Amino acid sequence: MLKLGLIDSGSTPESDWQAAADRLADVTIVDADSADAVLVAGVDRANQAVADGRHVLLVSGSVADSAEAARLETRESTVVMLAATGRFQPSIQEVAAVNAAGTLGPPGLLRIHRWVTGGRQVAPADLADQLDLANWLFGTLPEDVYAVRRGETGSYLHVHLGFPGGGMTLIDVATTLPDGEDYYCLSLIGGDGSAYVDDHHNMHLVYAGGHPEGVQAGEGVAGLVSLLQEFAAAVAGNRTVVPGPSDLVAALKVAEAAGRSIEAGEPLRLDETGDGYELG
Amino acid sequence: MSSGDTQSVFRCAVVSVVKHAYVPNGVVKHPRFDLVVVCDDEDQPDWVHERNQFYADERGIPYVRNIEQAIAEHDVQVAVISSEAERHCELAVRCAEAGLHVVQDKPMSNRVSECDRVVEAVAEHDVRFMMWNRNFLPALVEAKRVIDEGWIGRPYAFHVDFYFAKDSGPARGSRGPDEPPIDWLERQIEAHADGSDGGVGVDPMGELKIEGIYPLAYIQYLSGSRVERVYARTTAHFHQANFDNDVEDLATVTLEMEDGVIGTLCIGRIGAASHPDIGEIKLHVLGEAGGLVISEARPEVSVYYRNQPQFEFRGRRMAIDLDYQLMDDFAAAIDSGSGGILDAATSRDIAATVQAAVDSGKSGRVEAVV
Repeated sequence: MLKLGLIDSGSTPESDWQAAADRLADVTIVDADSADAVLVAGVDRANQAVADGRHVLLVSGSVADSAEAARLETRESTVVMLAATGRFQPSIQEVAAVNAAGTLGPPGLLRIHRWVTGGRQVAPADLADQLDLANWLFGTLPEDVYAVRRGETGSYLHVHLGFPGGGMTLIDVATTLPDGEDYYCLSLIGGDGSAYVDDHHNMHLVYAGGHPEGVQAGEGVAGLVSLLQEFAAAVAGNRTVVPGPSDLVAALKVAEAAGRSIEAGEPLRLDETGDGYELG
Repeated sequence: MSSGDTQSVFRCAVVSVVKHAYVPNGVVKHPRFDLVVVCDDEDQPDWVHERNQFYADERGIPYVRNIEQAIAEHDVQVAVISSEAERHCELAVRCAEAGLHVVQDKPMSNRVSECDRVVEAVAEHDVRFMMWNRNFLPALVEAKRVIDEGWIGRPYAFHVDFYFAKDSGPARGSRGPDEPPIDWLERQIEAHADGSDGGVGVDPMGELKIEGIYPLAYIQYLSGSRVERVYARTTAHFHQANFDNDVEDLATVTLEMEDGVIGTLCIGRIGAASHPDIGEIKLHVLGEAGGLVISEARPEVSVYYRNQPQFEFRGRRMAIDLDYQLMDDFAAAIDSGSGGILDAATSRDIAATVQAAVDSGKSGRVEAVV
């Protein structure tokens, strides 16, 4: 039985983590003091937990840049996993499964729209989750990164990626939606087929006067259940886990390249080391 | 040049109809337009004459192998051009010089310099020009209304997915290494049977040039902004004919537009297996006060039945008033002497955007639209 303490739960309510754990026989939520694994935000807390001999689930979006992510400590006896909720969403799991099986043929084009509320500036960390999905689905880092930002507040950011073999990705993140629900859309076009994850189709309609309202057909806590299952299995098997710290570092490096591209107004290219990006 | 009579019927010459017949067929959906003759140049190859003759016979009108003679003898006011892409502008210029208004199939041309000639000719001879487009599809009309009524505030980002789920000959990699490259024109002539010959002509064209006018016209129509800079990725991902001829069948384009407006385009001929219908065609628009998600196919009806042919569309579009509205707009443009929904200058700008995208796909750099 994995005893998980919720120190920081990020943007996902604690009640959802609890609901997910309730569906698993080998995971239970406990006080942090008595936990052998913790959900934490930020590198310092993660490293402290590892030093204490605890396994770590690191809240997605809680690490600002790749240099900080590279400070994440790991030990053979502990598991450090990125709580990348996007990878474990049931809809995205379906896409990833057919992609991994080769059913769609070689991936050609990934398109993601992520629109949220709040109006704040879109930071590299906000992009990291979506960039991680692109790296994961293409199985490698992009070789070209181009990005544009809009507005003084920077509440909108668009990234254009090129992958080896001609693959390409467009991701846009906006924080300009008015108060209410978020919008998410992902499509993957492969050489032999395609997959579409789309709020537009997964919508119920409510007629209560005036224009009908759309009610999203939610995916519940199934994604968190899958995430906790993978984490618990890695802990039980004392094995490495995906996504781990290296995936976070990779996503943040691409996000930082996007930031530099915005400043330069030009695309950046993967350098000869395959580990960083440079202009032109 | 205006017609001066808002009830007059315009006599139209079909000036080459070697591609789809949907343009001339669409023109006569409006009661003010009548097809009276098909014409082309005598020196065209046999397959061109055969297709022109076939259409003339189908319509019960004469086919004349001399364009200037047909114009002179049949008292026409409008030219409907649906030739190979590389001839589009030359024919449009000749017709404009003869005083005809011009309706032209896409693409405007495979060369921006040719588009410039058309812009000059229609201005000099004071005739109207319309590129065939899809801006009056019900979903686009609705999107325009929602934006114009201010539901999402000032729009600042326009995204279009424009995928055609069609095949185009052998899949990439399906031919042996010793087989010769696929001849573009032969492949396009062969593709006429299933209507996927939008790229017919001697010069190979990728999907950006063949279909790019449609989604880029959507963005122009909804935003009213010109594109200034373009960054694109392009590849031949699906079809051997595209690979052999070094033209893309899949592309992504970032558009940097006037006033800080951003646009993007995903476009591809992605294979019949990739979608149950014609393909996913969708618009995402962000405004300062909201967002808009539009499915270009709607309204539609789903139809399923036993022994349904594999590639018959399950989703059937309906209530489409595109042809009538395009031609009504064109009639109004002629009557009033105004520009219309997609005039020569705007079409030329879109062709320049396409060219910049193709160039960016090759260079890997941001390209200015000139």
